[in-house]
Amino acid sequence: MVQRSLTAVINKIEQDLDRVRTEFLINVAEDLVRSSTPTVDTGAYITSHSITTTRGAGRGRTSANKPQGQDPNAKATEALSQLMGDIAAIPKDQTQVFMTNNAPHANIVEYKHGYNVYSSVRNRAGLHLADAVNKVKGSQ
Amino acid sequence: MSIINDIRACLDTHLAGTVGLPAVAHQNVPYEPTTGTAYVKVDMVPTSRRPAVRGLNPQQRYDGLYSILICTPENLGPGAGYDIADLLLDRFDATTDISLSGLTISIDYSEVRTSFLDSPFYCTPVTIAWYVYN
Repeated sequence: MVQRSLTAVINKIEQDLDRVRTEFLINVAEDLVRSSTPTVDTGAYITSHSITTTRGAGRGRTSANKPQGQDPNAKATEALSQLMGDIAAIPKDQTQVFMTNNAPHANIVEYKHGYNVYSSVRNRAGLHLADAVNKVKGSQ
Repeated sequence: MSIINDIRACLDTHLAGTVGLPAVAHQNVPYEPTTGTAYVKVDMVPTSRRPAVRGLNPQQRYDGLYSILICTPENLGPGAGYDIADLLLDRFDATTDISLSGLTISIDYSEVRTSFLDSPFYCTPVTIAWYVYN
């Protein structure tokens, strides 16, 4: 009887942790896209964000020869859709994921133009985690 | 000044006191880099403002980044950039408290990121994370 109760508790904890992980990644993805929206010109940078299980992997689009002045909201929607697909594809037992942007001009956007998209999203990671925990707690 | 502007002034003043630093390009101030001459570019990036305690009129915790891009002439190796980065890491070391006009900013961490080529300069980013209770 004790064994059965503990198993149920552990299963519940595992389910909750899975949901926290998913909520956390969704929060991060939304922040990543929101922070990148002001950078949109061709849309190559914002649509190069990836959430992957492999360091160095992910999308990398060049802005060369692409039409400028694209609609930021349309590109943001496309980027978020891609990231939601990435999150859905992460295996349940995966313990490490990477946010990447392999666009050739990613460093220029981040540091030279001073948008600091990845640095600032990382700095807010604690807030996103706390929010994810609260969402899961609040839905019980 | 507003709290955000006070934070910026405090960080800029502390940076200006760094011995051995090349010319500084500040935000929204015209600066034309001279080819062959190193310079640093700074950006202050506020990232969050959250109540530090519960209740009415709570004290706020402000978090953010002070992003410094060190640009040294290309084709001369990364050493010159890293020398400047070392100066900045010492100046903005973690747990350092910086004060100006009664405001105290705490440094959470400072770190050097991956360098990249932006011809005719080779650039090394330094990220300094700060927080303030006010």
